[in-house]
This record gives sequence, C-alpha cells and structure tokens, in this order.
Amino acid sequence: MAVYRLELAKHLISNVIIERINHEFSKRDKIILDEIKSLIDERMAAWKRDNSNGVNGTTAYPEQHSAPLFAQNIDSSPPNALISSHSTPRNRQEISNKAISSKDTAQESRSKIPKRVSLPKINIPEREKKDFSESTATATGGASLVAGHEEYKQSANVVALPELKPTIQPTAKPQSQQRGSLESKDKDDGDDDPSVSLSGYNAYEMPQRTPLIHKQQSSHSSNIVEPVADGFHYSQCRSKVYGPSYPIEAPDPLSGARLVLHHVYGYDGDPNNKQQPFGSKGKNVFWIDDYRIVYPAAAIIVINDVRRDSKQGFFCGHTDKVTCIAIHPSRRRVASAQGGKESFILIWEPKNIKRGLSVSKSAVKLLSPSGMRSISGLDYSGDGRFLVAAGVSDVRWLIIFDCREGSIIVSMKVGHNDLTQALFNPYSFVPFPEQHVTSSMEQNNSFRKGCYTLVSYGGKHIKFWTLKGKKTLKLRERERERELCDSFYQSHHHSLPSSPSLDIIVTYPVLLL
Amino acid sequence: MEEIAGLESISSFHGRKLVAKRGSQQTVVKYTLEGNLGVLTKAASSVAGMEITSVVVINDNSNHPDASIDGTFISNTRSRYFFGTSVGSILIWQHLEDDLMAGVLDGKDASPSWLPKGKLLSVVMELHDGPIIGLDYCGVVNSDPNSEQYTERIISSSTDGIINVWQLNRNSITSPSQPMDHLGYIELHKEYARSISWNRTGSSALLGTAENSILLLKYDDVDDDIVMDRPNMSVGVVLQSHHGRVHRLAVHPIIRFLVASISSDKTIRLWDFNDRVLVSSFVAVDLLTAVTFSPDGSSLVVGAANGDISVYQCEVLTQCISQFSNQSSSSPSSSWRLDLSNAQWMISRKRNIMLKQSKSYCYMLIR
Repeated sequence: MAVYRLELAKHLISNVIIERINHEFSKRDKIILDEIKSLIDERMAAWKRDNSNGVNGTTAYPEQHSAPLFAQNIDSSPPNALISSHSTPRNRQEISNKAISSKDTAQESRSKIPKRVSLPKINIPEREKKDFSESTATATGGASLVAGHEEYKQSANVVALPELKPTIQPTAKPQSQQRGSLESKDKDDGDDDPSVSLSGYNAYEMPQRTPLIHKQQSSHSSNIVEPVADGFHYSQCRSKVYGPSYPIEAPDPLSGARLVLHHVYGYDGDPNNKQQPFGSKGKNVFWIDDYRIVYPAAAIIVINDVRRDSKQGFFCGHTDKVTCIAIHPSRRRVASAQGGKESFILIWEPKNIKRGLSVSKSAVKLLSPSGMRSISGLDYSGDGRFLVAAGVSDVRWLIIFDCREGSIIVSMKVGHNDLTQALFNPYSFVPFPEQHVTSSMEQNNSFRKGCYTLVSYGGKHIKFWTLKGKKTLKLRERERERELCDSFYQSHHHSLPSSPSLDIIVTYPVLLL
Repeated sequence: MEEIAGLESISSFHGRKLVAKRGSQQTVVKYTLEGNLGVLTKAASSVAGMEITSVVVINDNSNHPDASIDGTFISNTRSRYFFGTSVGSILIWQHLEDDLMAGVLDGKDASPSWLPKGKLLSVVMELHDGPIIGLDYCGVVNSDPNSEQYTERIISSSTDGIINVWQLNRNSITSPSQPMDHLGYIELHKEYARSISWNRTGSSALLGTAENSILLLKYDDVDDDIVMDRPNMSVGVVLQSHHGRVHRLAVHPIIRFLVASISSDKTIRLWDFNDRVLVSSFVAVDLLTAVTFSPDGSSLVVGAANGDISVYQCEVLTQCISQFSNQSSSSPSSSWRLDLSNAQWMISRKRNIMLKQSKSYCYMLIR
C-alpha cells in the first residue's frame, strides 16, 4: 500500500518536473523537488526493507515529520485513514462534533478524499518551501476529517441507529486493532438475519468506497485491493471484506419532521415601516364574523378570535410581507396582497381555516402586471365582482381585476403622486343575485342601472373615477361566465381542473360570485 | 409546487399582458380634486399641506344601510364620501341627486355612460388634533321603536390618540352645518391609531395601532343627558406585540411558560405562553442586546449595547414564583394564572463592563 502511495507521489513529482521543465524553473524549486524525491526514495527503500521483514505496512513511516506533505496525504487516503491516529485531538473533536450533527459533513469529507491525491501536482512547484507548511496543514485537515468521519460513523450508529449493531461482514474477524470497536458478525448469521446484517456502517460505507478503490487499482497498482468474487481483499485484512447483502438507507428519525405554527405574537401596524416602504396605510384589521378578526403579521395572515381562549388560524400562502388586505362584502372571502420582488394578490376563504393549528395555503392567485414593486391598497366592489389594487412601480397604477374571470380589466398609470388607497363606492352598483333576476328584468336591463365608481386618494389629490361597463355586463357574457364557473366546480371533483379558454386553475369555486 | 399533504395546492392564473390594454383603457376620470383646484373650498384649501388620509363611503339612498350586502335593493348612486384629512378635519363630498344615466339603454349594447356630478358639501374642521388615520361606518338597528329605525355611527381615529364616535345626521344634506353629532370618545396615548373598524352591530370597534397591538373598544350607549365629559368607551386588549425586531428570548427557569423578550423598540416584555398574552412590559434606556433570568428566577438580567448590565427585580414575580411552586407541588392540574399586572420592575444592580480603553484598543487592532 505504502509503496503504491510513494510511487504515485514520485510519479506525480516527476510529471510535474517534466511539465515545468519547459517553463522558467527556479533553482529553488528544483532543489525542493529533488529533496522530496530523495526523501521518497529513502522512504520506499525503508518500507521495502521493513516489509520484507514482515512488518505491517502502517509502520512504514517512522518519521512522519521529515516528509510531512506526502505522508499526510497518503494518510488521508481511505484505507490508511481508517487507521490513522495522528490527527490532533482538538481537530478530531471538532470534526466529530460536526459530523454527529450532520450527515453532509461526512459526505463532504468523503468527497474530498480522492482529490487529495492530486493535490501536490498542483501546488508544489508554484509555491515556496514556506508554503509547504500550509499545504501540510490542509493535508492534516483532510486526514483529521477522515478520522472524524470514522468517528461519525460510529457515533451515527449510536445516535441514529440504536438498534443496529455496527458490523463489518467478513468471514473472519478483522485483524486491525483500530477496528476492534466495530464488532464483527459471521456471514451466515448475517444472511439469515437481515436486521443484523443490515448494519448502518456497511450500508453507508461500502457502495461509496468501492469505486474509489477500483479506480486506483486499475490505473496504477495491482497488489493493493483485489476484488475477489463477492468480496474485497484489503491488504490490512487477511480475510475478505464483504458489502452488505443488500444496501439500505439508514432510517432517519427526523425525515418527516416539520414545524407546526402554534401562535403568532405580532401584528403589522406600523404604517411608516421602513421595511415596507410602499405598504398600505389603510385598514388592515377586519372582522370576518362576530368574533373572528383577520390581520397580517409579516407574511402570515392571522385569523384570531377576540374571545379570551383565542386560538389562531393562519393563512400562509404568501411568500413576502403582506401589504394590505381587503374583505369581500359577504365577509366570506379575503383578498390579500404582498409586496417585494414578486407582487401578487391571493384570494382565499377563511372558512377553510379552522381555529388552532390550522394552516391553509389554498388560494387563487392574481398576478399583478410585471414590474410592480408593491400593492398599497386593495378594495372589493360592492358586489364583490371587481377588485381594485393600487400598484406601485416607478409610477402609481390603478389595476382592476375581474374576480370572476381572474383577469385584469383595467391597468392604468395614475401619475407620480403618492397613491394611498383606491376604493370602490360600495353602493353605486349593486345587482341582484342571480335567483332574484326575472326574465323581464333581464330584458329591460333595469338591474344593470348604475355604474361602478371609484375614488382614489393620496398626496394632494382625490380622484373620482367611473368604470365604464363595456360589453362585460351583457347577459350573454354573464351566462357564459356562469357556465365557466360551473365547469370549474365540476372539474374540481375530478383531477386537476383547467380551462382551455383562460389560463385558470381553480381548486374550488372561489371565483363564483 | 411542493405542498404539505392534505392541503389543496395554490392555483394560479395569469393576468392579461399590460401592453395589450394600454390603448384601450376603460377607466375615465370624471372628477378630479387636485390640490387647490376643483371643488375644494377656500377654507379647506387654505390650510397648508392638507392631505387626505382616510375615506369612508356612506349610502344616502337607502333606509337599510346593510342592505347592499344582501343585494336586495337597487342602488342609486347617491352617496357621500367622508374624507379624513391630515389636519384633523373631515371633507364631505356628495354625489348629486341628478346623477343620471346617459346614453342608450336598449338590450343590444348596454354600455350606459354615466356622468356623475358631485359637490363638496361641507368641511368639518378641528375634529382631531392630528391626521385622521381611520374612519369607519356602521348602521345600528335601534331597539327603540319610537325613534328612527337605524342610527348610523362613524368612528374616527387619529394620531392624537383620541377615538371619536359620531352619529350621522341624516338631515345634513339640507343643513350641512351639522353633518354629524358627537356620541363618545376615548383617549389613548399618542401615535396610536392605524386601523379602525366597527363590528357588525356597532357595539365595539377594533383598533389596530401603530405600535403593533390590537385593541377592542367597547362602546356603551349612553343617554343624552349624561355629560359627555367622561369617555364612554372601554378598552380590551386583543393582542400586543413588539414594534421592532425581537433580539433575544429567555425562558423563566421555574415558571416555564413565562418568557422574556427584548426588542429594538427598547422594551422588555414578559409573555405568558399558556394564555398567550403579554403579562408585563417595561422600557429600558438603551438598545438591548441580551436577556436572561437568574437561576432562581427572581431577577432578570439585561445587557445593553452601551455595556450596561442591569439586574431587574420585581416583588410580584417573587411572590408568583412561590405561589407557582406551591401550587404545582400540591395540585398540578389547578388552573393558576400568572398575574404580573401590578409588577414594578426596579433596577437592583447595575454595572458597566465597557472597557475604558476599548476605543484605543480597537484603534490599535484596526491599524
């Protein structure tokens, strides 16, 4: 093993020399490299001598400090790392602490291992000798990472897999003393009893390490690891090392964990909030029935009971700070807008949100025109059909949504003056509900008398607007819309509903008037 | 989109492109009041810097103020707009009675053009000392059959901290000098109002404040002969919260549901996590950075950004701790409530740990 490592290092260095020989090559670099080469030669000779005497390969490094770079790098390779013991206790503890807390650390350290081998090729010729200490330090870090990795595996068995014994599955017991802590099992037992054979150690270890070993063995040396039929032969182990009979993912006790919102202490009441420069200055606390109120708290809209034993329900569909809220005249539907990068309006129904621990995200999303930074005001028309939004971009906008179609029917710039809010006059157009409309009334259009009027106000202005009914109020159109809504409702009970004519997906008929 | 199981997914659809609508905007400005122009009277416009801060629309055409919600009547467009201004006055603007539909109303093309006319009825000055931030309107069913069927109440809130309740005067169209009568008030402290809304019956109003708390104002009907000197509204707290970033939390070592928090609003607040209410709050001088309870729970240690470490103590808390430990040992199921309403927090010890030479030390480090 060590011979292989040293040969590899030597090979790399000679490669470097060949590569660099065409370039400007400082004398000092040459001296350094020559020194290293000679050191490696010495070490190889010593190892061969020791090995011929039958000494274990790990003792081939009598003086690690004389050639720190390669010695450490070699140690950071996987098989030696398992038995390396020279990482400082502080490092080891740190790393192992990290490793216990997260699996990723271990995987990271694992992924670093192959890269270590090629490290000297990049670093040596360009650096002064002084820098060797640095690279040595990194190499030591790598080694200790691996050492920590091993500790992690043991500790992971303790933490995450208390019922599984850490097992390697050789036919005979491993010889290495450092592996003494890992109990071994007979192969027969393992095959008969999967709960024992499926050790966390092997499940993690074998599938990932195997390709690495294969690669090294095929490219350079042949006497290190020999893939035997269903097993691997490590030079440190006399017996073969087997993978698990079938690898499993270690069960993660926290895989289904999530946080549950219990209570929100807070309410966005500050109208001059710096984090919300274009937020609403209007109302944002509303009654939705005799006892429940709705108000925003950051990106959450809370439905609270004003009685003493108040338990809250939450609407969590927003992804950024909620700027304003509007309540449908029936008080059964709420529209809420958010500012920030993605500014949109959600329409949702509070009846879906029960008291206590209920989080709802189901809503219909109305997208404001692109480029809106915020929506500073929202209001429903008196019949709940239209929704006016005061948009903020470089200029101020009035945007009117048709809540039945989910479309924008008006979006116009209204100037640079600060637009505090835009409101519908709730009394200026109130049609009958459908069941009250008789055919005679439809004919003479009497129920359509009136207009939608709006008022917008803000810096130095009040503006009164009328929304001219174009053809949208025609009877034909209304029937078509009703059919559309019906189709939404029916298809809701099937799979994902979608309308071909409009880009609408509705999960429940929130758009029904 | 990933969703928690059991929840319906957010559906979405896209609005039409903005560019396509640019040529055919259907919204027409009929009336514009801008600055000193338009129909603002001289009296109103003479006040410099007046801005509209709130609005409420009331319907003058219906006897039933809430009928519109049920959709049981055909509305005329006659309605009044009450604009609260930044100088504490209210402008009342009205759609005129001769608002008529113009154009063709045959069955083919029902696109009536409507020419609303309006006028400024009156400007009611000096209702509040500050900007009128919130206005809300409510129609109340009278129990007394002899009087009118409905009284209509308007509640106005301002940053001067006073909440006023007004009764709408229906005859104000003919006599615009008295559009509304004062019914009651309550005085809170300043910078308070943000959002106000009546409940359905007009018996209580919900006030969201700029300091991030929500109050429930209960309005008591009073007889006319009672002098209006005393406030006739009562305050209940729905929720209170910090109005700044919360920096640290500390859990009480004995009363486990008592939690102290510090915030950038320079207040220290103690919360009861069982009842989910604020139990105590006091103000510190400097920006706070750290908070913890002493191990016996009797004192609260607070660190400030200027290096002060202050130890706060409170007799009521000490009593509460003993009560709690007695109660929990005897009968753990009994409902004992933490009451710190009378708590007076006193600084028992204070020490500054900021190094005298800290500035020069930092300077050396930087160099």
